[in-house]
Amino acid sequence: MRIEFVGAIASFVAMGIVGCSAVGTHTKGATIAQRDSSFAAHRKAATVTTGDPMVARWILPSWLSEISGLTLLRDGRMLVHDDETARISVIDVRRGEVTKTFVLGNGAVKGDFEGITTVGDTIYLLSSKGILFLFHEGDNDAGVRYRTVDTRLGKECEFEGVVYDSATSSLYLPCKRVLKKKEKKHEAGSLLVFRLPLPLGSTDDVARLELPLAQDDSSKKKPTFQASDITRDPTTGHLVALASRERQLLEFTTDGEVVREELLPPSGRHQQPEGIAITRDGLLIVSDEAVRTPAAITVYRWPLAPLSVVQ
Amino acid sequence: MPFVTRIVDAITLGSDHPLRRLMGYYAVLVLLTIGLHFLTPQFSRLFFDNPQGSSPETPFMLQDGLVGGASGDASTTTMAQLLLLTAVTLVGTVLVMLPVTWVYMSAREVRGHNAMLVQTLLILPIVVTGIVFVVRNSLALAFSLAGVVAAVRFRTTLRDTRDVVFIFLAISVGFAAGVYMLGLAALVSMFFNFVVLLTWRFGFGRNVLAPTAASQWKEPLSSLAKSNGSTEVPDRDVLLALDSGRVKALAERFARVRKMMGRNNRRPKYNAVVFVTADDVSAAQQRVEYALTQCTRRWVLDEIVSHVGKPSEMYYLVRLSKGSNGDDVVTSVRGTAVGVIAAVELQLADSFTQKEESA
Repeated sequence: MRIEFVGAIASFVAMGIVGCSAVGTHTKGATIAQRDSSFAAHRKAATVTTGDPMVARWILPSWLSEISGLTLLRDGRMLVHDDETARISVIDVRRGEVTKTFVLGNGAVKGDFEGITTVGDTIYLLSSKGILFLFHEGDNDAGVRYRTVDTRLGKECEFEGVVYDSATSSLYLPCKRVLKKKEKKHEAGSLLVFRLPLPLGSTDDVARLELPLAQDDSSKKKPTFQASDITRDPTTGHLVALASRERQLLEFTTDGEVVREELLPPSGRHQQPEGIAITRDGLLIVSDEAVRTPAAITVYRWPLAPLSVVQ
Repeated sequence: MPFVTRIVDAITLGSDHPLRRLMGYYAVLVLLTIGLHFLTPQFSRLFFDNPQGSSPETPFMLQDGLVGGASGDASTTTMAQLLLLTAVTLVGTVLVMLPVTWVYMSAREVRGHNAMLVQTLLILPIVVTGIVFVVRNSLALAFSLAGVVAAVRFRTTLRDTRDVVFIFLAISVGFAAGVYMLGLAALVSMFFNFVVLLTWRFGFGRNVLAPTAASQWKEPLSSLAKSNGSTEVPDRDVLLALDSGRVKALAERFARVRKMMGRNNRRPKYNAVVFVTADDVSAAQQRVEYALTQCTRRWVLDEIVSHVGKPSEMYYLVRLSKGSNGDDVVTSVRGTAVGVIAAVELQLADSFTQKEESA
């Protein structure tokens, strides 16, 4: 009796182990094929300007619940980073697959990381205090070497997001919260963006772009734009900033001229949008942190249909 | 669990030593863990998960939010693996707590234990693990659970203050298993078991008059052994009932009696003790000594213990005649001293020796 009992338990465990492995292999292949066709179909449907611009939506696991920034590599792969740990994940947004993950140093680098961008082969990771972490892409589960550069702007502003514009060879850093008292007037009614030319030099070379926000005639309050990330449209060369609280996009030129403002599509159910990126083939990618719903990455056609324009 | 016992017996070569058996069990557990790791590396998640949020093995398929809102083909595989991981976690919790129950039942100062508590030590971590699985990612659920628990009043009385520590350990193991830190739970419980066992073994913090666990492991009470190298000791239970003063008096009596009786390897001068109780010592002494002169080869008065309010005691060391078993001596003393003695007993030297050997 005891031998049968032990044998039954061992068989159950062995079947479970083998079965899960086999199911995983079988399902993944079918899943990828299905997702490729599904993405293409949604993409085609989203090209109709009057339809829902959403192309795909991926639910993120708990260990990716606090994505704070997105950027795209030259080959179209997307890099995302955590809010508090220097962990970078590479995601295929078309298939909804996390292809690899690597960390800075030994994985113990902590901070308030708010933005990520690429300058050639170098990846720039920005903290809210204006510290840049420079590194290169690593292998899966690897720890990569890095170096830090202080923009010396941390006392002026709490940063949220960074993007590199190759045309002006400059980094653009939107300011979420102005720290200097004399600059507090910029918090409402406009968006303050810092432009840092590369290579980084004196703070005298830093330019400040004050982008006026459209005033709503029905409200006496000055409009606000709590920037959470910024990206570059490869097609037009414009910069696009994302506001988390207002769930709004602000498109402007590198000279600081506002092109348009628009709201995120309501179908996206954005609770806390924190990251934004635009692909070369016209896709807008928005990442949400987990709040009441799981964290997610939403893919739209770009440009969005003008569902709501605030002028 | 006889098959577990047989495995541990095989590893410890049949040793009954508690520490060795515990180490043997943990050796089996470690081998099982290593085997599981090589079979399926994903099980390593159970043991030391990243507190910041687990990072599963990449590549990793995300859930499709457009298909049913929350599920897709990829989630089927994830759910099956999640269920299997959960089952293994619960089984691992039981395996970690099993030696804790053994230590609880064994390493005690007071005889007897609470059998319900032993079962609780096995079941409680499973329940706590399940609760942690449910509320892990939801603050609202956690607060709701706290409210439910507060509404239900739990009252229990634990006889031993150490029982509370065991309960806390069970809860901590459950919590650790629930956040996929089974390795930490195993380490904590292992360290706990060995510390409890060793403090019990050496009687750390005990009253010096209380017996140590060393006596449980068949080591002699050397403080009362003869300094001449003899390892024979008085009856342990007798000593346990005495205070230090009486132990000393008894030890002195035994030393004196043994000296008179001679050692085992020599012909004893006396081979029995006659114990007489009487109210009138002088009258009883006269008649008892007359009877002893008639029916024994030699005798000597060892001690008279006088009492007030109860009969006094007289001790005689005697050498019985050849072939006598002592009954004739008792009969003779009773017949001669009838009316003046309350009782008479005879104890052969052989019975003393047998008692010492059994102690």
